[in-house]
Amino acid sequence: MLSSGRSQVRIRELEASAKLSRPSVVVGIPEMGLVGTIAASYLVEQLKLPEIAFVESDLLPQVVVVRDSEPKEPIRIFGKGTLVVVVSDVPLMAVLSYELASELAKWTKARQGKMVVGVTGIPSEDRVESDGKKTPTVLAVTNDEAIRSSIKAIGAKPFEHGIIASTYATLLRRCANLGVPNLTLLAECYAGFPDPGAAAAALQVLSKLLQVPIDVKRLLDGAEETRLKLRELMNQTQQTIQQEVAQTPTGVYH
Amino acid sequence: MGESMPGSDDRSGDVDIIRPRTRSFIEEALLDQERLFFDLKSRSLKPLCRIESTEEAVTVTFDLPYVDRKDITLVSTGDAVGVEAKTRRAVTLRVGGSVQRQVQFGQYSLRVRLPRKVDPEKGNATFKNGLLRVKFPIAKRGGRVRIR
Repeated sequence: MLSSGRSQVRIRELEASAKLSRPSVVVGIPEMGLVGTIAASYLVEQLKLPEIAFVESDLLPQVVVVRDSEPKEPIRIFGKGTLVVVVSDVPLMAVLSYELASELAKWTKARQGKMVVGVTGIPSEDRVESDGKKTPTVLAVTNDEAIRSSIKAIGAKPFEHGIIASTYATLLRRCANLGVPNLTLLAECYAGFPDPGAAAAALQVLSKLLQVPIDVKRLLDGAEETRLKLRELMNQTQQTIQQEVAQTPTGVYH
Repeated sequence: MGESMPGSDDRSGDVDIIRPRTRSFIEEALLDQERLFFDLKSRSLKPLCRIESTEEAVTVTFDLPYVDRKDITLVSTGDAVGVEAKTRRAVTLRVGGSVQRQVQFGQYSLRVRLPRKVDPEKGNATFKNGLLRVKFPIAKRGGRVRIR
């Protein structure tokens, strides 16, 4: 069973991780519109966060991507002071997704983290029909009363009814079980296409939540290049999402 | 490449046979992936595309960053739709399997089969923020036969 026995995912910390202090842990996994991956990668680059850990698992694809002569782990953790950012360059199949979410919730608790912030997208017809000038709405759901009362103040809208699937669902549930505050941000995005505009909207909310200035101008200016470069990851992610959706219950009775 | 006799204990022979095949399988998978996104002969990019089908219509959306509306050509035969578009500037991307290289592209080109026969004359397309969306009504099959 997934819930018993030893975890199949391990977080390997590097030396720099010792300098963290009650961090907020932002998680960006490739899912709808690649919003999480785009936002988390931009955050790391913009704030020049050093790599502090990586994820080790036999469930990861047996592939190493080499960039500028340096092998890169597919799931890396960056951070400094009160902020940690988890970035995955690969879509996660069901078992890996569950194990990673569980491990991240446990790791945040062990590190006495302030909260876990999941960043993802939610497909929206309004977004597709818009001319790209309107900032996409960001919906938010949390297990924490204090965070819930600040949702409007940080520029998000409460997510009232619907379904959250896969990694972010497990992350929310595992955090709730362990008593770790979780806020999941869902930016309205394109279905099936990378959406840097939606990632920028999520980052603007994050900026207010974490009280860290994040300038999204460069992300928006380079949106076309990002869309082109992420075609392959988007395609792989769509295939993973379709397999997940086939197993998702559609009826909610209460 | 070594060959081992059936039933012999020489396992290294099996490995020698399997290894080149495995390598070619991985390389082939990477090349398949490459063919999904690039046509290197014509230096064309194949755009991401999404097809949605209902009882009334088929909607196809193409993601065309770096494209202006005036540079798009869209054609349909009823059972397929094709798009061609020049990019407003040359785009350099990494392509290839195990060893990647930089290649410059200047256009998109893709033809996709539709899940249902549509009426191409009644197609309606919009282009917003780099997304080309075309909606075709399903072609009517059969109809009322007038009795004389």
